[in-house]
Amino acid sequence: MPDVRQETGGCKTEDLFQKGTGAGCGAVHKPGGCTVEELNRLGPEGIPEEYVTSSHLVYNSPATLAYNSPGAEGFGVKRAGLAVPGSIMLIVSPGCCGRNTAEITKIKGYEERFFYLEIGETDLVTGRHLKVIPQAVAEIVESCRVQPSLVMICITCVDALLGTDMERVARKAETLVQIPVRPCYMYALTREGRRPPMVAVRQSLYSLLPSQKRIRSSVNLLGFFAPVDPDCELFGMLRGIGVKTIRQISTCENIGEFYRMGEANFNLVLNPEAQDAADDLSRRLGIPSVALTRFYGADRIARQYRALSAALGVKWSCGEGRQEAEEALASLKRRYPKLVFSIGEVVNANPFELALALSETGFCVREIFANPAPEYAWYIGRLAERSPQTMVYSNMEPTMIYYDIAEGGELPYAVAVGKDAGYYHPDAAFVPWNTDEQPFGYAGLRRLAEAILSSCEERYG
Amino acid sequence: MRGLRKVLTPFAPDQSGAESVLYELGGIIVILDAGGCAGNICGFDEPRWSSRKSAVFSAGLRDMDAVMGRDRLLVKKICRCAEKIDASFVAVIGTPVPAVIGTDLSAVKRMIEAQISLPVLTMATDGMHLYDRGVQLAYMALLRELDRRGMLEEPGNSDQKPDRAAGHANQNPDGAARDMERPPDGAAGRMESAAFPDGRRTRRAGVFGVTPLDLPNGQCAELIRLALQAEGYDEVILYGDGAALEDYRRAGENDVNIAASPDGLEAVHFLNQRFGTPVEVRFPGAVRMLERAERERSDREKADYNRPDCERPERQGKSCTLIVQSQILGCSIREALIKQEPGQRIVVASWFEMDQELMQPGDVRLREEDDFTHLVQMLKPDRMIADRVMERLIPAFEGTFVHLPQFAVSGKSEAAV
Repeated sequence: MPDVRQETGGCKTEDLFQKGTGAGCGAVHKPGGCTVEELNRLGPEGIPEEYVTSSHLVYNSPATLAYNSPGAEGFGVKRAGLAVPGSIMLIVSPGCCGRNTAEITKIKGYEERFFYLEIGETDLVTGRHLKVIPQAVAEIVESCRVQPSLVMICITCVDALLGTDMERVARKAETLVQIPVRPCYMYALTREGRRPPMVAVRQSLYSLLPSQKRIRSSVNLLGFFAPVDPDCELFGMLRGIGVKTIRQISTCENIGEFYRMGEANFNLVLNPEAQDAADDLSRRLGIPSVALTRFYGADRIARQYRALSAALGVKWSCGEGRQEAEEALASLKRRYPKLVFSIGEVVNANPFELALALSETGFCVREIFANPAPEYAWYIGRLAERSPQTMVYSNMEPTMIYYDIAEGGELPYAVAVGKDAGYYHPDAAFVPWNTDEQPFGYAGLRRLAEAILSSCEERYG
Repeated sequence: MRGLRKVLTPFAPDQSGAESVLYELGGIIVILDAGGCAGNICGFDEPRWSSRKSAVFSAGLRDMDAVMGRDRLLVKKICRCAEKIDASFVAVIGTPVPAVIGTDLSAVKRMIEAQISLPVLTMATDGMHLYDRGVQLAYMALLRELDRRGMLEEPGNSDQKPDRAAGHANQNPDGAARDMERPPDGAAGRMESAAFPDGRRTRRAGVFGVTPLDLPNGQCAELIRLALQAEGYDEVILYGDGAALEDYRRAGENDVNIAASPDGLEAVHFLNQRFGTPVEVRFPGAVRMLERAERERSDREKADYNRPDCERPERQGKSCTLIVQSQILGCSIREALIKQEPGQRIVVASWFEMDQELMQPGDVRLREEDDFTHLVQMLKPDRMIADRVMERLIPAFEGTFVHLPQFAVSGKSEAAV
């Protein structure tokens, strides 16, 4: 395995990140990072401060765009808030908060669904904007060619600071327009809090589901705002145990069908950000839930399916799709045995788990661009055993401004998985792996292997 | 309803304007936000972001930072960053969060200055004003701080400076600023003149109000340069597009400072007071821009008609043209059009700041969508020069629409950076 680690001096935590020689002068001009071996040694309680976003300025690079502006790529609060078919959104905020919504309106299906009520200093001081929201909702509903099914009112950081009770305002608006009105909160301030925005928006949406007669053959997939890959073996497995209807918010054609998600026998939670919403449904509608994790390690996928079958009290073949996935990986390995991977965090994956899965396949993983969290300790430990020199960089750490690959200096057979990794390695084979459609299970693993193979063929022939 | 937008997306905010002035100057730029504002600024409003690195950071504020007012933590983060990153200055750009909690940016500036030796700028932008205010604040913060620290270089030997008496030959092909001969109430009326002894030394023009948010598209910067070079200027410094920090420090050497947008006015007047540099108020290259826009409209109309011999509709009469653009660009276009067809009525409107002295009767500052629709209903223009996004507000408009982009309005980029 090539030694791709940069010289960082000794092993003390304070030496692991570069230090300059004074204000603005003599910076070492190298990005700071740790190896997984060092991270494992430090343990989940000893993660260096440089990986803790709140301890330093956040460097804005194209690699961190999805952090700063989740809706810029994939689903942020604004786009997620329109997951219910036929819904529209009124963004009540200073003008700056709605600015990049123009980008979302370019996406098919999102034109003419956003409206804005701009608030100024006087509004913030007096709260007068709250009084006009119901009338604003009435005006935008009236202006729509087709009556919307739902109005989402999106508010932002300033209302978080003011402690605005938007639930109350939404109820007033609902009385006026006679269609559901719900708030959603684009509170970047609470991103790392107990109820971050992407958790809260899911709760807001699923709070609409009415209580319905339970249908035993109906299951919901919660967690994503775009469909799960229809090739995923999970669909076949569920049908094999008698499930006739599998609903996801993204495939509901109208609000009526969305409401029918309330009749589900149980929920499968595929993204932990939906767990709070699932718990709400359990309390309110009595729909239990089971959480599944997206893995790319075949053994981990198998173990999870066995655990699920035990939880459901059913017997099914947990190997459906595994052979195809392993064959796709083997085919990739045969064709390109010496691939060197850089894994980003702007991917449909946990980057540490994905790195481990690729390492278990025998590939070299030189870098991970992601912040290690205590809950990733198991993956880091296994990586430390298999690939101790894998470097871990935080995209947001200021010294990442100095991450540069010299022209012509890219490693042979380099592969960048994730838009952020692709930004740092423009000459590598690039696998974005962050489509709206969500990979899952063995099908996800197979598709990943196929995507890598395709990119490598295009790049390396 | 005031503030309600049913068609147009929000315009570029003041924090984006401030950042656009500072982006290329080699400083540490800190956007005092939780992350979303930085995403809007860098990922949307800053066209150079994906092609040219800059040390732009988000403060990464969290709820407890706002509630507890942890300014010391912010200062610590900034100073730690300054230890690791080469930088010529530090700039702190405000957003709605510090505006709501009343962050004392002057105090933050002093706290940072107590720990590092770099110049520190702060701009009290708040996301609730428009980009031009941010551009103006950034220009002034930078110039005043450089001046305070004695970093604004004095011009060279006085016998090499232009004679700042009245009158010089007008070499402006745009015709939008006939300089000293113009009456003081014209579009380019407020100027002080300078005479340049032929062949003595290079002539240097500084242009303010030309950030990417001020310009219709990415080619405009080059058009401005070409226009000024055609007037005999050897060096053209676009403050906000290509200028380095050194160019600000040497601003005193400019032979003239041109305000191409209202947000550049305060800066050019500051330099006039500081160094006596003559001021011009015009948009060099405006005529070329209009010609290109007209050509594109004509090409599009030809493409719309499959038969090449099909008659295109002719503009009926010359009753009224409505220009919706940045004021000085709009006024420069108006001057050029009036030269072509004297006597026609031309109204300049803008969504952004308009200088009172440059306004002519009928000119309008727009604030709400309804202001625009009412103006069109009242004027019934037979030609409109504006960003095409505004066609959506006037679906019944039957006149000629000449698309002249304004990204700060439309949010739809046509920039090539």
